[in-house]
Amino acid sequence: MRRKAEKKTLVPAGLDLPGEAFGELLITVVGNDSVRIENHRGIAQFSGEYLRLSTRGGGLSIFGREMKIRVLAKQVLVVEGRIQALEWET
Amino acid sequence: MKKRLHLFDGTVTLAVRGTETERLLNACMRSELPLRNIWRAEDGSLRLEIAWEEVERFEKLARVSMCETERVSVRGGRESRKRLRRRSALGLLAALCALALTASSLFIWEIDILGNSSISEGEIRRALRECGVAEGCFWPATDVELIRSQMLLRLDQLSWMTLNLSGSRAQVVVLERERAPEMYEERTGADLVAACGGVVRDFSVKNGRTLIERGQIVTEGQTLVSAEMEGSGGSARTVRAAGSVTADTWREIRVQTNCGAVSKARGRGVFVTVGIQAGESRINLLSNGRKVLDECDRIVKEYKIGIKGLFCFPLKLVVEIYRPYESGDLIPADRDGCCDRAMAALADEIDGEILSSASTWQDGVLRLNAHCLENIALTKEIP
Repeated sequence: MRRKAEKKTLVPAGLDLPGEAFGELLITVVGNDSVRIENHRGIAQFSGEYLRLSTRGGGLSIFGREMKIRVLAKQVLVVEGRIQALEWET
Repeated sequence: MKKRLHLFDGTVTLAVRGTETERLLNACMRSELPLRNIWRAEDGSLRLEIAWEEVERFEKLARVSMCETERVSVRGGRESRKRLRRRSALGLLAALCALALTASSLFIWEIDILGNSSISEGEIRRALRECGVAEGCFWPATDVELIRSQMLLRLDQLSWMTLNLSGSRAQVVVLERERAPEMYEERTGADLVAACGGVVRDFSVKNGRTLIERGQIVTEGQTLVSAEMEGSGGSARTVRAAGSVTADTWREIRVQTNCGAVSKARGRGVFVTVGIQAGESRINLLSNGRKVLDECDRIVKEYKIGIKGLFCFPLKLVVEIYRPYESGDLIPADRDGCCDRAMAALADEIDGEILSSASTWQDGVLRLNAHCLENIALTKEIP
């Protein structure tokens, strides 16, 4: 399992390719009011102050105020609002 | 931009209630059903925006996820078109207005004239009318080059003109002809003669033979400087006399004036008429009484309808104000003003200055006698 996980990172690292092309999570933060997340696996929980996403490596929690999902498309999500914290759950 | 596009297509705002709303969102994501502006409302429901044509698909997914949906609002696209269909008259009116505006922009409703100083605007407009350019004419049929040529032939005072057409506005730019300088052949002989009689005070001769002395009395037309001069070896030669002769002259001007003006006392009431004028036709909209035509001042104000510099409608708002008056006593003519104007005209005419003047009035005739100091030399070519 550990080897499989290591192999998954070896190929893109070895070929100098970007990880998101292989399904790695990509987070783009603009200021403190917009977050774009690509390659997530779904929404676990959503409210105005808390958003929890499922990702390949575990879970990602976003804390904030007056948050809204601006765009929800296949594997792409854009959250806007007053973002206070991003927290990984492994 | 995207917002406007979505609005054009039509957007529905839905409220979703249920225990597994996140499951519904994930289902939409997997089915590639795009959702926008998802937020949690105060009543706990999930609000989101979706394209009009995706609503049915979304409601099907909601039923599978055991969620209830409710349409909160519909904006743009199909809904607007539905409303417009119910108000077909409004749409038709808007279309007619657009058509009228487009059609009216094919005709000239405003003519601006620039660059004229000695030629009056009325004269230029009259000439333009004769060439076929007037308010209400169809400008696409206008041949600008032909009109330009015709205008230059009709008005000699113009040396250049152009006609710029922009929508319903025509701009005429003119350049007036400048007087050509006096040209003469240097070898032709010319005498200097007196333009009017007087007493010579001083003279300065650059070329020619002087025939006068200081203090001499000269009459009008008398030769002051002759072109005939003695050449080398005793032979005569003819030159072009040049110079100036300053003399004291006495001028008299007679001006016929009118007896005076009738004084006016304001009468009672003011009558106003408001109307719309389209071309030569006029429709009166408002009138607050009978117009007094016998003794009244008529003030007409016209207001063009449109945006200055951009376009102009073929309509004008015309306001006519009638102020009645009662005739009073005769006011004598402004003698001082008349005298000043006569002096100004004399000063323009002579090449010098007015030293003193005296004026008398008799039977409405002003007699102005002025003592002037002026250059009386006038070039007269020898035939």
